[in-house]
Amino acid sequence: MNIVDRYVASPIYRIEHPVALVLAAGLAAVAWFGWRRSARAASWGWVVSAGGLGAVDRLFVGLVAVSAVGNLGLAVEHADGAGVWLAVAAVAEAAVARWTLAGERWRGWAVAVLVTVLTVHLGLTVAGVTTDQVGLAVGLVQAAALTAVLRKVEGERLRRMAASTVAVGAVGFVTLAAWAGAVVAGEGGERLGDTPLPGVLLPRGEDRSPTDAEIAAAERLAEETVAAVAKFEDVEVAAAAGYQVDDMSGSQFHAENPVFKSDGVILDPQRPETLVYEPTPNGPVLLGALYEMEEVGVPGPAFGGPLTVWHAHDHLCVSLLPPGLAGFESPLGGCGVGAVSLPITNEMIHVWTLPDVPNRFGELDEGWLARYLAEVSPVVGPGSLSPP
Amino acid sequence: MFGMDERMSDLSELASLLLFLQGAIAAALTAEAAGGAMVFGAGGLGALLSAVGAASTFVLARRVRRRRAGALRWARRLQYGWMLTGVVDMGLSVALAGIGPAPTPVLTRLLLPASILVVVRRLQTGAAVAVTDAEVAA
Repeated sequence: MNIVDRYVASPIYRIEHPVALVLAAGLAAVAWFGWRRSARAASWGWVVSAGGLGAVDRLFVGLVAVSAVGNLGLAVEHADGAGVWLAVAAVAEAAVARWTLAGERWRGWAVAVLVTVLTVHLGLTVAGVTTDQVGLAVGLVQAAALTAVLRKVEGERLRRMAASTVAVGAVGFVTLAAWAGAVVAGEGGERLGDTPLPGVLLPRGEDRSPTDAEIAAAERLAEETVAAVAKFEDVEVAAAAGYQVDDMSGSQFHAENPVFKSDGVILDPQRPETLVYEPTPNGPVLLGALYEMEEVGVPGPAFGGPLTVWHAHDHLCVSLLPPGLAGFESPLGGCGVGAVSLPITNEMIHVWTLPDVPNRFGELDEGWLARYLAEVSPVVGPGSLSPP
Repeated sequence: MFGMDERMSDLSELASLLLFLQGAIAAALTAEAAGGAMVFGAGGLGALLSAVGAASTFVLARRVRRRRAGALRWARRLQYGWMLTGVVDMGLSVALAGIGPAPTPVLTRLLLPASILVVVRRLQTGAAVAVTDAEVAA
């Protein structure tokens, strides 16, 4: 199954600028082969001039050149104000590479240019230009180039430590900018046509008005679910039914029932695969149920049309010790130590059973939930992100 | 032209820089793991181990600069770990979701560790040659 064809995902894990990728990867490959060739036959002008540089400086030139070409490619694919900024960044980076090769005084300018370019990237992100995998890779290359310059800083210990801290911060800054862009771009809802938040997959399609039959089907399932799961407000009853309610933690805790997850039955209000609780100091509050398909890639039944859009999750981190969900995969690649990446889950749909909840299906309005919990279980509020 | 010692010094600077960069990436992963643990209530063991890994990488970056034999050995082992976990994650992605690896994970999980491996091997080979030369001279 190819999830790119089937689902819309957050751009943070996707390639949306193929031109920039081909240009940057192409330059890197040409530079690599050219360099190896020149090592034997030292005959190319600019390559020969790089021969007088140390290995770190040569790496710096390569990184800045790749970043310049990458930014140029991104500029071509952004026919707006962002494109102009990216083109200016590309020219500035090309100038830095040239100064370095010419052996002129360049370190101060290099730091100024790279810090400015990284800052502009963050500014563009906050302004709504989302960072995809190509933009992130270019940002990482810029952070690496900045690290190469700053690691050369000499002098007193404090100065060197400050340079190292800035270098580490640059990588963190690039990652933070990517997350910020993805969250700003994410519309959070679960309607067809939305740009999902990181870690959420929505089926491709366009939103439309539901038919009367779809509204009736959605309301029927919601009412049946509210009635059927009311008994699980008592977690002892849920535990007796096979739901894993031990060690509740985090926000919107999902208590699975392993038997119901593989019983061949879906959308049965008497046997929802998962219950969702909000742990509070006064005890867990039942928020709703989650119905789940039994196989990856099998679409859930569209009984309520656009009112009941199923979703899946991608790039989740599953912890091995202790077993459980540990977060989302880094766009840099990988999870924390002791966790593996789960690339995709089955499709699923929430039904929220709280009284007067604004929407029975899809994303739970966290502001509303905070107010509700403040009434029924004072002292605590929900977290800021929803687990699947 | 560089002499042997200058060349080795140059390579150890490069290896140290690449390891430092890997440490910075590990530090970013640690911050993300800590954020995930807070939101999902997963406990902090993963984030703690990641922090230890990032700190160890920074220490290795410093020791590789001085060309310590033990540090070079551990630097190589660390790269095998990065590449193995990277291949597992990318293999799962292809097998379960049908999508190939994205550019950034290829950079951080394959190209960077492979580059460090190549440079460290050259450092180890150069160190062995230097020892042999010294023995011949003696």
